[in-house]
Amino acid sequence: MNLENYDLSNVLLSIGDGVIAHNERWEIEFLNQPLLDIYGDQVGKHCFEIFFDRDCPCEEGNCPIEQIFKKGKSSFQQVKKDKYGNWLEITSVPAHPKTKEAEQKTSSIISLVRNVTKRMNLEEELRVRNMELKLKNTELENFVYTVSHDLKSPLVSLQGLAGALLEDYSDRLDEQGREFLLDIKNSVNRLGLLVRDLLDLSRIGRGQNRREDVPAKKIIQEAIDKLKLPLKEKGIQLIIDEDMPIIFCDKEMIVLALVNLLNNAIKFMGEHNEHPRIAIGHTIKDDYHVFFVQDNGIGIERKYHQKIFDIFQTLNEVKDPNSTGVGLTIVKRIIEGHKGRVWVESEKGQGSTFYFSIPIKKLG
Amino acid sequence: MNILLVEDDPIHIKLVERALKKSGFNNQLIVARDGEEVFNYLFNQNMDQRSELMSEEFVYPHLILMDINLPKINGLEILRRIKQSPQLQHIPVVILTTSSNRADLEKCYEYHANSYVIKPLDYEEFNQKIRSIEHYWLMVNEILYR
Repeated sequence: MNLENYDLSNVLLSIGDGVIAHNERWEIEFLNQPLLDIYGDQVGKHCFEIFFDRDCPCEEGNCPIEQIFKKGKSSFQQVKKDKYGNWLEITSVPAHPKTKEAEQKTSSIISLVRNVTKRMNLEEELRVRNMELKLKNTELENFVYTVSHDLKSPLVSLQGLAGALLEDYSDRLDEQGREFLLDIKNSVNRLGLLVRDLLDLSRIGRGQNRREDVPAKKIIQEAIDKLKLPLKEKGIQLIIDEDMPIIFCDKEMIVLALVNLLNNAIKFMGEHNEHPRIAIGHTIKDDYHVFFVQDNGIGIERKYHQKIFDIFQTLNEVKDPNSTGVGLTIVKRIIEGHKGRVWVESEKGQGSTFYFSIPIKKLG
Repeated sequence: MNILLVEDDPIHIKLVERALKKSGFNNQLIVARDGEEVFNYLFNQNMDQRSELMSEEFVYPHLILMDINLPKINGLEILRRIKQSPQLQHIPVVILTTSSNRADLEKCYEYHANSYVIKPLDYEEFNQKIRSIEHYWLMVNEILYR
């Protein structure tokens, strides 16, 4: 079917959206009913006057006449506010003359005018809400940071005093007194871990560090160095892949994520594990580096695979005083902040493998 | 060895005193509770009599132990001024901090702190740091008065 064989003027007249034709002198040649209803019969007047209440044409970048006739574009679309405050989506195309007589006349443009005020208002509302949400989030993170920071000083006092009491006055207490004091010390230590984790968590949101190219080997080494003591105490064998890539990341944060994953593996190794083992490896999947931390510990039931990444969730089977329920949340926040993903594959009694992915940096 | 302790929390002061005593040091400990007291003590030694521990004859401290979160003037600012002063910059400054965050610690070094200890104090580590500074002064004296 060749559209050129049809007279489409009826279509233009009856279409629900506005249709306007104007020439290169910005003079309106034709308006269809929807536009007539709003702006009245304005044939012969300037488009910029009628729509936008201006006394001169719109800026070059916003004027379809400039864009089509001078820049030679085959079509031009823009969204603009009219004089009544309506948002108009205007799609303009050159109007090809059909007859010889028409060719003598000046060239014209036909524009389709759609009222998108509702959509724009919704988008605007969404933008504002988003901004508010971001602000609230930052506020919340700053709050968590301040609170945990301010908690530190009295906490350190308590830790120091409890330690001093235990060391200097133990012999003057009976067994129950010593036990209570030890309980205080352990509780305070646990509180200390909790505050440390909350501080770490709030730091991720504040994320001030630069991203850079870092050899994954270096990250792994730093994480292991931080956990030397517990790794040694539990006699855990470490197996680390030789081939490790260079990744583009916030080094401090990825070290922190790995420390938390390793800590998790150490914690859930199980009491009667004769050959405790942790393997750290790397593969590439699609556009991602995928790292994994695999242990042969107690494993995690499938129904908990999602839940463990939520804040303050700990598995009840292991009553570990060092578990704060924040560690895996920290991992998740860090990795998602790097546009990666973290997940676990595990069966109860079969050990666990935690994976995390980091996008491969694109060249250029 | 004369030690200047810059710390506002009375319990933390007590704990540092205990740590020093436990380490068997026979030190003179001068306590400043904020930046103003530090500057009064170090810069205009004869003008202010507030510090009850101030000795009659002024001797520059051999070591400054300093908290970072202080009222009035931030610890890093105190550190900066000490390390910019020709009379004071040679005094070793050890930062006492509750933060184990790397960025916070790096900042201390940026301001030319000589070392740091994370609170609560690990006696062994604390002891070692003080001993190494004591050793440093012994060496300095030996070189100067040989």
